[in-house]
Amino acid sequence: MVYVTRHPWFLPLLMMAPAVLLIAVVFGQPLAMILRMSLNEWQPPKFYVDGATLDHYRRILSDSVVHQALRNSLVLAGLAAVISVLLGYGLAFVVWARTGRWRVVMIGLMLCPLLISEISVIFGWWMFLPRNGMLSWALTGVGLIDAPISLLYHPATALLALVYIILPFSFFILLASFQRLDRQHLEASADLGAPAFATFREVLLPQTWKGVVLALSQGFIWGVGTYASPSALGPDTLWTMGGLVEEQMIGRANWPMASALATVMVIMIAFALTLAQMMDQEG
Amino acid sequence: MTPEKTDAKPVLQLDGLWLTYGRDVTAVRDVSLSLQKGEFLTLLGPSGSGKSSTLRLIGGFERPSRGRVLLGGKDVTDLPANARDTATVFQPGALFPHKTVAQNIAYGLRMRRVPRDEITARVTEILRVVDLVGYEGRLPGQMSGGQRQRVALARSLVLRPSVLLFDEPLSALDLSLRLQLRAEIRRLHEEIGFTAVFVTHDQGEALALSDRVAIMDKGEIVQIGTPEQIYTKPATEFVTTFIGESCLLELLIDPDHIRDLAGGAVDLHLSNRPAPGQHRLYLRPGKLLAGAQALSSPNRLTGRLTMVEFQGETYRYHLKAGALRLVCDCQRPLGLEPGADLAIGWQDEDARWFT
Repeated sequence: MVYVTRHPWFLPLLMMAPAVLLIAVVFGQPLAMILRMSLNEWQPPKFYVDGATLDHYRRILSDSVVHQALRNSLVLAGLAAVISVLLGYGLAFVVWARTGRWRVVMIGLMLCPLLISEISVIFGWWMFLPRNGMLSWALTGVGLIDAPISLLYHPATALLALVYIILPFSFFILLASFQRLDRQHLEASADLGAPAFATFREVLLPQTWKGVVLALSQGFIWGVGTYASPSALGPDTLWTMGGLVEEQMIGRANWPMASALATVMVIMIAFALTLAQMMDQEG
Repeated sequence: MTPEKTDAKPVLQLDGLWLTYGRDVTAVRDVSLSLQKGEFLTLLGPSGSGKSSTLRLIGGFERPSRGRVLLGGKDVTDLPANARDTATVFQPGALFPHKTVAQNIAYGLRMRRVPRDEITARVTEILRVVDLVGYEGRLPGQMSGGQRQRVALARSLVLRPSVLLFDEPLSALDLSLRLQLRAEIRRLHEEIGFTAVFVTHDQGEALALSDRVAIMDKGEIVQIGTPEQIYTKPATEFVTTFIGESCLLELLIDPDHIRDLAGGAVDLHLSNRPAPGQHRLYLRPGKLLAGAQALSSPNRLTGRLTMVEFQGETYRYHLKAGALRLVCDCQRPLGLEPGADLAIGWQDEDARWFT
């Protein structure tokens, strides 16, 4: 205690210590292990042999399969994040603007997907989307299409699955950013002569911009990290970074390569977060 | 400033406005009024009396269930807020927190596509009017409550709307600030001559600011008139009790006696005794006379002095006569101690009778 009173800078450090410690143990340590593993050598049938080589990174730089996976991951996660934010923004606005029962029902509905495991959701899509599935049956039933179609294993299906996973998160982040907003600002804006779109651009968006950026980066991270849904519902040729990591780790038993790919993903996400930070300061 | 009574078209006209929610809730009940150019009208009433709802109908934030709103003779009932030539000063100001003072004030002008240099000129001018020169670059969060409210006022004033609407703009401020801003609004009204509808539950504000006051109760306008008319000639019992301070004497009058509700006879002398029955008599403490002056008054109540309160400007004498209680404010002390006999008198025109 005496030490603390004599050195005022020590107190904040002391108070931050538990959080820092937790982050170091739970996140820092596994990350360090992945980094270390990515430098090991691979000699099948062993998972890895201790070493210090950059071979795996070299392969990543030259391998066109990895490049394609990187592109796919970026595009899928980016699109899914943007679509989720667009949909989530509209839904969050409606929930924020309404009061009473409607609000509770909407929030409850948005919570539902979070209660179901990703695997169950995939099985759901498998029953909903194939040629003999519910959607195809319903579409032929109302006469929108002539013959049953399968909507499975299309890149757009992978995207749909990702949006389904990301949307609730984006929604709740955006709703939180709306909660601080004063409803009277909308009336004030209209009263001063602003049409609806001007009110959105000048009053709503600037005050919820932080939430938009947060939801975008959050959605992107989920999009990059989720690999089961795109690989189960997208076409076989749609390799993503997550899929590659799984394939190297489990299919090939190449732990150093899987770790190197994971490291690249972490760098990608760090880059996206930095970008988001910059967007936030601009807004 | 009283507007000249001309037969010019009213700036604002409300024509039988109703606002109902669902089946049972009626917020506004058959409200009609008209406002001349430059007139300052206050809607005064307790909370839930429909005054704010009426203002929202004028501003275009609510659509009436029945009736019409006319601005400058034009029917605007179906126009939304952004298409009406009204501007509202909201209670907490509702300034945009991410915009500077100048940007907040310029907002409405930009929406009306006023040329850029005219915007700059008008913003500069209005900042001088509300005495906020030098604050252009501040964010609302960096200002005091009173300054923020002045910005809100400037933001509406700069548009030169045909009617300026105030939705209890001062109620969130502390007393001294409220009085100061009240005087400020009055000064601006006399300087610029804007037309205003001001909603408040503070009668001091209403009486001090307005050319005319409309008293609202349960969605209806119960009386409309100048502050003096409202104060001295309240039309209903509600207005009597709502405006200013009143003492209530509940009386049972029969041909021979005047009794309190407990049935005891009281020493009350009236110049004009009303018809037998139960009556309620309202008197304002400031209009009453005590002691020697009371004895020459046409009406007087005699009883015992129970308490004397010194109130700064006045001495307040509490009188008890049977179950009746009456207080009288006197400029000078009467030199009486509690327990002494006292008479309190009044003129006929200062008494309000209701049965």
